[in-house]
Amino acid sequence: MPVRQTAVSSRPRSCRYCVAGFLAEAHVVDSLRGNGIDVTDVQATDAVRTNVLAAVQEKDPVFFTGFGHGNSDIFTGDDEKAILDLNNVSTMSGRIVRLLSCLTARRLGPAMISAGAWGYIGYYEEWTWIQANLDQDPYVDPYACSFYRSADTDAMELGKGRTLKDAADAMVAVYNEEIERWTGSSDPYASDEITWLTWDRDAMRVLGDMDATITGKIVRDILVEVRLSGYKDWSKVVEVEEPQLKEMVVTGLPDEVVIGTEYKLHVMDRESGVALVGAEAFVEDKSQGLTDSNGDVVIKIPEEVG
Amino acid sequence: MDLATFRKLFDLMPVMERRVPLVKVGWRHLSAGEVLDNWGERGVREAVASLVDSALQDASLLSLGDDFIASRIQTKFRLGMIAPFYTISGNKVEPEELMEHLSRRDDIGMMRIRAERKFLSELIRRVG
Repeated sequence: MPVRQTAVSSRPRSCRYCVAGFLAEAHVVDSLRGNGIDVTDVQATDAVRTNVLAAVQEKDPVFFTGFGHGNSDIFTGDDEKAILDLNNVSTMSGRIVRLLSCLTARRLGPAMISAGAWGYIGYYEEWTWIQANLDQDPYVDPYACSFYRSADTDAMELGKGRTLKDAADAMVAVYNEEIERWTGSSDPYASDEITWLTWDRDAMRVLGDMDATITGKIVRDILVEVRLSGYKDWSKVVEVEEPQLKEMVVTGLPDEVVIGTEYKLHVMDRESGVALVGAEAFVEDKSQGLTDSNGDVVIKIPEEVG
Repeated sequence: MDLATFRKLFDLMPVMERRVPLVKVGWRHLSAGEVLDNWGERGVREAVASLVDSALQDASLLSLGDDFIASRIQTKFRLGMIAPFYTISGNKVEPEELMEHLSRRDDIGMMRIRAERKFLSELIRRVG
């Protein structure tokens, strides 16, 4: 189970046009730390695959936040080589992942969720911004501030204890405020500001458990009531701590499967590595049976999927 | 859309945006400013109503042809309204380059056309 109140940030600097994101992500790191989150800030030339994944392995953070070039199936670091790709999405299992990167919502984000990530926020299109001076902090740039302030809101709100859904909603609200700010403006680039802010806002995708949080214990409110005819209702809202669920590891299923083919899955307890007996496998909600005493179960990919 | 509502849309537009073609009436491309000047014409009012209806029904404004949208962007370029932009897949696109992408209707050109549709739709929806 990833460690709550803990985050790893990846913020490269040397990649093309990355200085802005490098400086902006520093505000995310500062904000998270200001809210008591233990952040490992993997930055500049250190922000490459080996170092970032080592930090994730060592700190086991509930939150991974990163800026970097991306594509549908890749998120990259300072050397523009992959930090995350379709082959290592399981490293994000149990975590909330927030990527300020292009296009990762097309394949990488969904793959992370399929591999057990708790939540994901990223972009389905090219995340685009305008900046007057690329070497300065985008938060003080007259054009870039609207983009980075909006896009960084999700991470900052998660740091305050908001749920994934609330953080995403807050981000949309800031995008809308920034769009509003440019309406009626006499700045020649005002239309382009609105254009790209709208583009980025609409490209944002949120996947996974909308109630996921990164701070404190996992709690939710429930309402307890007692009613009796002739009496006013009695009620009390109490916080319920969610049970700490253990994690399993499942091997034997490739990322791409063949229709009609059987696959033997092996299921283990993540911490101890002990085979789990009696775990039920499903394909498209159809039961495939229970794991045997070796922790194995065979599934078959049906002819008609979906 | 009545005149008062159109004025709200006009006010929402960035100042220079009011000079960019907004609707096609016959062979004419009219900007928001020209729409106001010609509000008395039935064809102008109908063109605006059609644009607003389209935006409210389909945020991607697919009813507007690529050529018309591209002509809006080219006008913005001539007026100095196109900013260089960056993407975090590692591109920097200068306004002159964007015009070439637009002519070729390649990935970046088509992305800008889609973004322009979203822009129009966003403004109209904020009034509607």
